[in-house]
Amino acid sequence: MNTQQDHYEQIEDYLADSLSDTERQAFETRLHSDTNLARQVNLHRQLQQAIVQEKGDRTMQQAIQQAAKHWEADEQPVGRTIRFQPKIYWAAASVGVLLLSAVFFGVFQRDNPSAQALFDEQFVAYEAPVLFRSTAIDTLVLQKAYVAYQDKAYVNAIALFTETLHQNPNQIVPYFYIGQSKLAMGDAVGAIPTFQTVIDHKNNAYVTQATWYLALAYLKIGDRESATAQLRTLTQRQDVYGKKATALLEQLNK
Amino acid sequence: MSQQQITHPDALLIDHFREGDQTVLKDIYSRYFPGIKQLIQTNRGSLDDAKDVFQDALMVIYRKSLQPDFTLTVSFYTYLYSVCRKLWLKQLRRQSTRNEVAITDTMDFIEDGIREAIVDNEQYSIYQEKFRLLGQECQQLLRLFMEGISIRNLTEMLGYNSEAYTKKRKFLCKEKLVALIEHDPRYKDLQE
Repeated sequence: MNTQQDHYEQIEDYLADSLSDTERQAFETRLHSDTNLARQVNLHRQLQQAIVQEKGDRTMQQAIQQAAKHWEADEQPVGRTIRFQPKIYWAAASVGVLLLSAVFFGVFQRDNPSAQALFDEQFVAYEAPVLFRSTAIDTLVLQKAYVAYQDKAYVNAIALFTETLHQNPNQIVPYFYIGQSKLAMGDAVGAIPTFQTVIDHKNNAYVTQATWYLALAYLKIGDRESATAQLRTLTQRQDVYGKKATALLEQLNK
Repeated sequence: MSQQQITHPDALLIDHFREGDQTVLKDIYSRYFPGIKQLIQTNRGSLDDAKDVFQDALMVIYRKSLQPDFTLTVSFYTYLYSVCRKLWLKQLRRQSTRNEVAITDTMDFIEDGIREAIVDNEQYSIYQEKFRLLGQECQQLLRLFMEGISIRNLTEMLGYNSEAYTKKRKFLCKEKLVALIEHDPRYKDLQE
């Protein structure tokens, strides 16, 4: 392992108070005699505070500048500026797609009851990572998105995951959870391209899961052939997804 | 002999100020900017200088007020004046060829802790400026890590293939950030 990486991790462990008593005492002995180490520890400590505070500080700077403008213009206090809130529009768009999809699904479900039954039997929304729920005003959009998803507030989760994609279009994980949210709401048509995006990206930890849920989404719309194709790619796996895919294929081929 | 600090009644003002309350901020401008403008213009500064110093001072006070051990023991205006005064003195010293720079004061001020508050503010400004130069992935990773998200959860949240990879990415992002900071001449000046 890289020595400098070890060094950084030791400083971080010290600041997080996660060194053992022996390690901490040894580290503090070095700290008292090594001014360079002391400077680095102080820098890491300040960096942590500065990064956690960054969004709040930026908000405060903007608030001060806004107050300065108002004072300079000698304006009376006005109401809050109405900002364009893309979340509302994304939420509305998602609800619209959901309604259209419900009509679309109704047609397919009439023709493929057993595929729907298989979907209902197999679908369980993917469990998101357990997170510390921060009440800080500057909690990241991504954290809020996960919390919304965990709370099954899927419309909100979709809007928030979409916002993180606007901030950083190179992410892949939000596509997976947007797909999960849509599928949980019954919008398999909307979920399919998002899972496909995760699979096409290849270099991420959600490819297998996305393949499984893509198969389920195809089942939901009655496309047994596409569902089968996805499940076949999983049957070679030795893990839980391989076993589930094999079992589901057997049911599909009955 | 230690003296117990007595909190000034303006501590309540600090609480609202810290929230970025627009009414409080506009009130601060109305009440205190004229006095600061007088200080700066009396000491060879322009109106724009006064505006810049006032805004910088408010950020110094904001960041200081976030520290858990901060207690306002003088009036908000005295504290604000003291910070503005120190900021303007620093500016005058940069512009002057002489060692000593005199300033004509318009009211009482305090010295205790003001220089440190200004240095901290400048350091944080540099750290955050360099942080915003990192790529979005690094910013997200470091922000989540600094907020206390475990490596295990980070790996899952960000879709990385292993915890070892997450740790490596975190280290590389932080190493780049530290290098950006340490190469900034303003950071070096602050260390002296």
